[in-house]
Amino acid sequence: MRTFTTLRLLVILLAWPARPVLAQTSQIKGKVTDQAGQGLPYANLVIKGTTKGTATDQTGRFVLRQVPAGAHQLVVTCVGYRSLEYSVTVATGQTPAEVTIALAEDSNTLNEVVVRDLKLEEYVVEAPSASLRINTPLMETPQNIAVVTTQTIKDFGLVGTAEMARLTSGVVKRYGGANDFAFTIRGTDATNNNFRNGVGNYWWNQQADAFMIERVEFVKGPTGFMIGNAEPGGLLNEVTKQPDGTRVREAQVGHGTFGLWRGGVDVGGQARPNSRWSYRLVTGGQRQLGLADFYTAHRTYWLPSVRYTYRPGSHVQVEWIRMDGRSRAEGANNFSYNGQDFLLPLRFNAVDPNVVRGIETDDNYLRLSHQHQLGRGWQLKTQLADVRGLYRGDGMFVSTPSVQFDTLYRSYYYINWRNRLAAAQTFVDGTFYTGRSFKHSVLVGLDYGRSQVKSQFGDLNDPDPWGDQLPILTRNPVYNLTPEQVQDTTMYPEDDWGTRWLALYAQDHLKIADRLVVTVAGRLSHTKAWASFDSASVYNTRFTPRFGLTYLFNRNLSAYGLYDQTFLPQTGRKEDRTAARPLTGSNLEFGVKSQWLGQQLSINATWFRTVKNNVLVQNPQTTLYVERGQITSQGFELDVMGSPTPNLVVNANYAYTDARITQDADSALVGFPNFGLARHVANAMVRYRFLAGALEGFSVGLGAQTLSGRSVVWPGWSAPEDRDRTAPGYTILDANVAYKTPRFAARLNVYNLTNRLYHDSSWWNSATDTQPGFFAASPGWPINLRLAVEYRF
Amino acid sequence: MKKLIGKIHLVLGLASGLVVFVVAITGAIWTFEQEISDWVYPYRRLAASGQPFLPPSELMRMAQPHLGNRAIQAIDYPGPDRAATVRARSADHQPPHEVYLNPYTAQVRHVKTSHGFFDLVLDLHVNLMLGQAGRQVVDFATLFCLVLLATGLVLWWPKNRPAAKQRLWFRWKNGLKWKRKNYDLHNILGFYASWVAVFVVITGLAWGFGWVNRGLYWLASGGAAYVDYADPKPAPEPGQPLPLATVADRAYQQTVDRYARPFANISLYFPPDTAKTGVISCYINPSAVTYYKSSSYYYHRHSGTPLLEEHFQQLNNGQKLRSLYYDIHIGKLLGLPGQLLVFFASLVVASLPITGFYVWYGRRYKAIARSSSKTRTARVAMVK
Repeated sequence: MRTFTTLRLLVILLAWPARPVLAQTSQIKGKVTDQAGQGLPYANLVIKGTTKGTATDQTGRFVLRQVPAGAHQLVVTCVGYRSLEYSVTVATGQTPAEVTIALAEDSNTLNEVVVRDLKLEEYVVEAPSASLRINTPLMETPQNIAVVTTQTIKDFGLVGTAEMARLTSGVVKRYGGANDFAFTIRGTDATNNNFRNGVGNYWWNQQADAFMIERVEFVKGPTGFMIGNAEPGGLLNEVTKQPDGTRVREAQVGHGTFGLWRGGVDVGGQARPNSRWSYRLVTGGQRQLGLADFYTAHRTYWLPSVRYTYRPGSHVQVEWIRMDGRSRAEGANNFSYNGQDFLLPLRFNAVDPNVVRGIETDDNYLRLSHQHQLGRGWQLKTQLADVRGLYRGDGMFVSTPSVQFDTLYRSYYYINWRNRLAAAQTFVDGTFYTGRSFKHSVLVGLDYGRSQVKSQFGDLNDPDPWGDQLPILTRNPVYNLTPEQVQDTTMYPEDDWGTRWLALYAQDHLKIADRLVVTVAGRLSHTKAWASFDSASVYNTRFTPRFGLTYLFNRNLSAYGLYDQTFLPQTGRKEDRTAARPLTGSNLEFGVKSQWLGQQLSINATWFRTVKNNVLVQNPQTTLYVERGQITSQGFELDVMGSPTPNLVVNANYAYTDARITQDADSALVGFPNFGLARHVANAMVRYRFLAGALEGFSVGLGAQTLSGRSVVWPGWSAPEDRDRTAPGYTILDANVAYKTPRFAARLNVYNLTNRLYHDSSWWNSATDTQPGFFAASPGWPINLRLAVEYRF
Repeated sequence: MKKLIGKIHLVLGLASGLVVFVVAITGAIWTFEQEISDWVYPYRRLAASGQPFLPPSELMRMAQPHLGNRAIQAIDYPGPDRAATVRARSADHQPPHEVYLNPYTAQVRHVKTSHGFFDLVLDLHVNLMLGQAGRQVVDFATLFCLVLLATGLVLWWPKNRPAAKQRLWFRWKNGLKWKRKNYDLHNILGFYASWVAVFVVITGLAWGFGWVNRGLYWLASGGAAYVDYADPKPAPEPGQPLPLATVADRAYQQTVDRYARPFANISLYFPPDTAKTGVISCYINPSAVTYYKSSSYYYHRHSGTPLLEEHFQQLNNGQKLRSLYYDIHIGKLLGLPGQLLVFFASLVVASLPITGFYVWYGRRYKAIARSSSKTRTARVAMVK
């Protein structure tokens, strides 16, 4: 609870200058309707010239709190309707003004002209994107879903997905560089749970660049219903910048420590004013060098997309996301033991630059989507996607360190990994009433997908079986390999594995008297999992239900409970050579969601318990898998996000996660913590904006990340005394300064202010008869900074 | 290519490992059979008297009461300072009956009526005590062993000079992993032992497989037509056969006379008693250590008439090589150093299946400190 009080103190202190103003505010209440008087949900209202705004609820009602006294222009926008500026006068001490704003249907221009106040920074979002297929406001959705806007990402100065773990609770980065990364969500592996516009169950070769992303949606807990095959811990869905007709001309340039150079251009709008055609093109690239020598990572991305809107709310869209990357010497190792952190110089890299050319990491994503308004409140959404990826090249890894770590023995390898995902999804959603107060939001859909990997691995012929080859001294390393020394390679036979699924799902989200929401949903999946190394494919048909109950105390406070089941086909070469059984699991979750201060600040708290059966765990030494009986993960999450006062932006979260083996054929393993989780994780960032005066446009921010109880052993692969082995935790601080005008923005982020040396990612290797146990760890970066400049024209 | 060879090495190694282990261990023991027996069984040795040996008939007369009505198979005079033996013919797997006598006085020193340790060792070595079937198992295991030696050398072959250093001799630092040590044991010891073992294995194969024997003959003789071991088939002679003891004396005396040189040992082999016609073979050997220089004399079973004689010097190269098989096989061709070489090489070969198994078994548990997740997942392919 210390976090909580500190936070409250900060809020009070930093909000102080704004308090005199608070005393003279009132609120604006009202309703946005169409010409027929029917309430319009999700209409946007912004007080012109300020950052204050809100959106209407499902019935079209809204409240704007803490509006300073005086005359204001309300800018009201809604898709398919003409935007409107509405004058309203607020006087203090009087009953709140109650207004009704009627919008005219826009028959002429099928795309709304979005009035975008460039000072407006969006932090709190009320509904997830359509790609999540939830179709309900977050307040009513019985699950912990955190939506992080592009503005938050910019404030943190993030450049890629791998850095986004700190944005919400329950997400931990297991390892990650500029291209390759993996998250653990709620103590569960989320490698395949990274979705782009709702397309996933694919192991991306290239992480998304922050500039591509409009928002990131973190869904904690089972997502089987929404998106299908994903681990029950949760997922993140990256929503890329869409061709929604908004006129965008933005360019961004960035520079940072360790050779970071990045740039991007974002262009979007309508083909002609009032055209049915809209487009968006986001393109850019980045180069990043690393703490260790020879590390390079390049990426370029290219996202053209076109939308044809043939009716308000109905459109066809094609988007292509092409990402090309190349990285070399990623995953450099350093070692820690006997309480001595990082035995090798931080610059040390075991990869020999003379022979390792690096790895090409590409993803090619094509998505065709169609959204059709069937009638009042009903729509049909369909999308087809084809994703092909490549992860090909060569590298080196340390296979065995000598006992004193004065010599490392390395393996040279070649990898050719091609993955492919084909997905087709279609669903209908809409609302209807039974009786006066039973409002049903129904969603019915079909989901097909096929995710395949073909991989080939090669290494040096006749390597010494203990990997005592290609030695390199750690003091004064000499990089003297010649290409001839690594030419004699063998490719092992290609492996081909994957999963295919076809699912029918249906959900009724029944809202009773605007108070109680009962969610009943189910998914019938037919799945196939195959692998060239298994003798037979595994077919399964399973029904997984979902029950949720939400009680809405008022618009801004709800409590919910959720029971959900997971069913996930798995593949992996197992030690006992049998085909992997599907992962099954269940999730129980209770939470409270609240919105404060005119819906500008959301505070959510969640308790969860996720049970997974037949969990495949990879033995890091043999690379083979074994099925663990059951892993149970439970914990508590707290998220505070938003802008409690116009001056202040807060993003803070805390998660306690405890994931352990609770059943296994080997009873000695019961109680063993799962790999890759951090028991306590807290992140916070507070930013103060100067909205007036000489410093208008400036903002300063402070951030902190704390991790502790990081489990670094794979369940079952370490000596018993290492069961509860944890990597050293860390707390790092960062700060940022930004200046912003409507057209121009510049940001400087400084990370790791205290220059703390820490384990960014860490693995524990148990002691052998000759060698004490040690950490193989990647050092986190020392103090470093990033500068970003953006310009809108 | 090396992967394929490695696979072959693995499969053959796993298939033949146990047999190779047994055969190599027993072989190693057998190399010093003479020396150990002389030490363990004192009745084998006596003081040389400088007198000529008593003729076979004297020995047979003294030995016969100990052999009952068993037919005599062979008489052996192993040397001037050793007990002569009269050995009765015994069926397969039946205990032997062998009488040790003083060759100068015909005094019985010892009667052996049960299998000794070395009989078991030899039986294991040759057929795993499984008779004809075991013989075939050993033959094929030996053949596999030859392939293993060849593939092992290919696998051993270092890529470059730095790599060669740790293949040529142990570079064990303190605290080196046991797995690594095991690998070095297999690799380095195997490399050196294989140069010796290849001769042992090939000579062993020559006994096991006719085609190997013929092939070696063909190679050594420069392509000459194969001439089998001498096996005279004399016609029956008229008249009453002479007593065996008399024929034996004649054969012995003629051999010594015709050889007309000092010799280290001499032995006589009698045909089975059932044979209507037969040959008494006499082998006389100038060396107390090796056998290859022996001369062979063959006599008519009934009369002692000389039929054929063969001398090492007169043989063609194919036949000479054939005579060398045993001396090569146990290393005595090079005297004690050769014997020691074979002994240690055999011990190493016996260890190879063990260390090799551990290499293979341990290979599946290679330690990886850390690599990228995709790399690790893709590596699954190689763990077949």
